Amino acid sequence: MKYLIIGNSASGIGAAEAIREVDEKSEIVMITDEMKTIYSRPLLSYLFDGTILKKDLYYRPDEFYEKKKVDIIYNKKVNKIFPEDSFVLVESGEKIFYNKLLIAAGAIPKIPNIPGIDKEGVFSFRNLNDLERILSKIKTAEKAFVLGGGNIGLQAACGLKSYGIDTTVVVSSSYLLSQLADETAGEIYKDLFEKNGISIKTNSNVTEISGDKRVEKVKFKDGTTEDCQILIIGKGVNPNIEFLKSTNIKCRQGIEVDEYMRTNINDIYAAGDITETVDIVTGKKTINAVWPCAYEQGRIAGFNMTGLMKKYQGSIRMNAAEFFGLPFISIGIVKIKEEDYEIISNLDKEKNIYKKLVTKNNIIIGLLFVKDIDKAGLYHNLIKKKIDISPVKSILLKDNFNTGVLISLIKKDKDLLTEDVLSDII
Amino acid sequence: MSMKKIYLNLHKCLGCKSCEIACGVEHSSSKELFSAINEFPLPIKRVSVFSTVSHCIPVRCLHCEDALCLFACKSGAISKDESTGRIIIDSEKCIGCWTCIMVCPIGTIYIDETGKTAVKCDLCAEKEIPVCVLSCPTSALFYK
Repeated sequence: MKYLIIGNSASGIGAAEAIREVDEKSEIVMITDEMKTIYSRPLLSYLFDGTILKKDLYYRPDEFYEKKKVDIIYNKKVNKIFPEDSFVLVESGEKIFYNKLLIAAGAIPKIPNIPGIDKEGVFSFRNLNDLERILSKIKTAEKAFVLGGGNIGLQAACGLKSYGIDTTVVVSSSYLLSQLADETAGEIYKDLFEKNGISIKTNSNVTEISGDKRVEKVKFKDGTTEDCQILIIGKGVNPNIEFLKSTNIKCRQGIEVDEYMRTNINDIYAAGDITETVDIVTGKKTINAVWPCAYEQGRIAGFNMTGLMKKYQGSIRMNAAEFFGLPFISIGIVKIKEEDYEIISNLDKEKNIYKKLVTKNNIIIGLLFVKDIDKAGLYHNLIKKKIDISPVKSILLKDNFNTGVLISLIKKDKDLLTEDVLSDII
Repeated sequence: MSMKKIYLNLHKCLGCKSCEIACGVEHSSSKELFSAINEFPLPIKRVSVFSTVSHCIPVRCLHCEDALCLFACKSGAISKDESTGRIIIDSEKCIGCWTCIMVCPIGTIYIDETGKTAVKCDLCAEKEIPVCVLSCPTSALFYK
């Protein structure tokens, strides 16, 4: 048996680890266009703002590939897959054969179509290479703009600010974190960023980037222009499916898989940010490009590639982050307009504590917590299990909602009389 | 593999919270009750006794076989000791992204005293038997 894994981030690593739990002997080949060993992309922002050192990026030990007996091929792109003959063609021209293939090629940054976007000094912020390029220009910059007020954009802004650069985040919506949060939370973070010296420009967009070779000025929707030496694009990601176009692997937005992470082509699996999976909350196929889902999908694909039949329960959009000491967690659907949804929330503006649950037919479908995040996992559990919360609705966001209440909700009283009460409610 | 775990005899738990106190003291810097309660910031206990409709249940990390926190950790701070099955958080490597808190289904991962890293039950790494078990006056908790 020969396993081939395209990609060495969360889902690729998850797959390799799972395969080795079951199959110690077979050959595993992993190919990546990255130049470095396993590092954590989500940690790049912590390196950027100086919270961690470069050595801390590596989330698996140096000897990982050796220990797991994985042949790693760096710095090479896969150009094409030939499913009929079970091989992939690498850009250098060589063929790599496989018995089971995992496509875990991740996502690539969305680059908006703005005149001048290809100028020097305009960067995306996805991988280590991006960060190194940003850092190489940082000493010659005084004014920077970040396009996009999501997690990546805000993290990039914090990084720029840590170098003393005058930084403005340009957001097309009316508030920050509009994909993960609501207006209330967005406003809390806007105030926080502004207090920490980062300007926020909402309802705006960059319409033109000008400069000789390097970016010198950016022009906004309202016609005004400002000086700019660094522009970072944080407008989200697209699945990296371009190289699959010539195959019959079924893609919509991302690669379509069944509940065993199999594509429509025999022996080819997909996992991670390139993959569409069923969202537990909406029941619809979507890409939930977040780390925990990517790892879990990779792990399940890995097991199934060895011949096991593990079902993937589905993905949930979930984000946890912290800015300037203020953490938040956002899961599922947090903004909703329709009437059959109910919102339970409380806000302490003084303390920046905000808690919001979205429910439908007494089942929680979304959570947004700012600052007070420690019980988020309990609600996450209720969301995943679709538990009827009506018996505890009145205390759902109160201090006395705790693991004991959760146990009572999930388990019937008589079931409690077993030794292993807790492992059953997970 | 000797995978020792903490078990609970539900009929015996009176909800006295001795385990909570012992856990807090064990994870303090002084490891002495009267000094620990004066520490600033206060040490964080990693077990909590909750009431269900009919019982009291001390809840701490279960060191799950398929640990969601382990799979979700972005920094490699959470690892599994293959020989004991313990799920451990390395506070040196933890960056405080709170992803583990987001995914723990029973809420047994906490923010540490400094607000910087995640902490949870370590089965009292330095002790042969976890202190919650040792401190339980009714032997409701046992370790095997």
